[in-house]
Amino acid sequence: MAKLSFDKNGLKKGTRVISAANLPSDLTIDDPRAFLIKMRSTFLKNAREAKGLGKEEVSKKCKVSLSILERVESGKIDEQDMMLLHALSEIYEIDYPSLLFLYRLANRPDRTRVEKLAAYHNQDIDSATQKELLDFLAKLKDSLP
Amino acid sequence: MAPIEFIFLGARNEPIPALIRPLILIPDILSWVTNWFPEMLGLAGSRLYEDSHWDVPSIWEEALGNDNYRVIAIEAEGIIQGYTVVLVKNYLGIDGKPCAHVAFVAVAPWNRVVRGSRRKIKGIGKVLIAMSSLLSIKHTGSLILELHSLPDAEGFYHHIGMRETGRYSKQGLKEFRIEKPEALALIRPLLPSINKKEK
Repeated sequence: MAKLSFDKNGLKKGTRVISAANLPSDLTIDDPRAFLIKMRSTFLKNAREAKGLGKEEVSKKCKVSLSILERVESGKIDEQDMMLLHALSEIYEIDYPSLLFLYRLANRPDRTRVEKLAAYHNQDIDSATQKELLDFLAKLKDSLP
Repeated sequence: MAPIEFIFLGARNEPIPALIRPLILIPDILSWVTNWFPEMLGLAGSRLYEDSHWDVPSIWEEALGNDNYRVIAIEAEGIIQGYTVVLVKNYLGIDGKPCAHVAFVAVAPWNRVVRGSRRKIKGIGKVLIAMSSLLSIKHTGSLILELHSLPDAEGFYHHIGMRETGRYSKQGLKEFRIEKPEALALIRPLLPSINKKEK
């Protein structure tokens, strides 16, 4: 039996060790929106590969062309693809409402700037703009019944 | 590991049946992204929790592809309620003897505080540590576990009987260790469910 070699932390040398205290940058989410977009464009492909299925096989099962399957796998979903998404969820044994929700989340318009303003966290806006915004909000409040 | 059926308690002590099982990558990623992820972040993606920056799907994928790790999930009400990623091989504890290292452990945001979005289930974290200890004895012959705690979780680890080793990670995270008696105390409530499964 080969003798294991450990480093000073007790870990086998040459093994990538991941943990809460040793989280490589490729395992962190820097931009939540970019993360969702990545999920949208890789999830179905990963789900197919996890089942060990090829694109041709799946497209035949779903009775769609390869190009449509490829478009959907790359995250370009529109209304007419809902039936296909349902068929895929059954083949891959995943929850259809959750799958739809994943696409809804990822397709949500980017409201980052608006939300930052609402949260009053935007470091980019100057004091004059802040005052303008506060005046606007005060007028809005006054105009409410 | 065969799935274990276990009854947890809700915030009003109502019974909530759950399944403790190995992670099933694709469905569990979908469950995490659609249920946990939106709750981990605030307005404009601000991080609400210390672990909000963990790319959990990639962590799971890497751990499942590495034989040194085991990943266990707890599922209740059709949703992942918590998970633990345990380094079960090639790790030596502070005493120089093999034990397991809990690399990542987390419970769903609604199980940390009452958020109103979903029903809070009590005891998920404790059971995850107990399961990590069972993995440890299976793979290392010892119930002992070590881990590095995020600052907000330190109280929880003290509460379940873990002790600080006095060592820190490079980022300043405190190292905790659970010894055999405390680990046994955590495992004991699980035994009827495990024995039932074996019969």
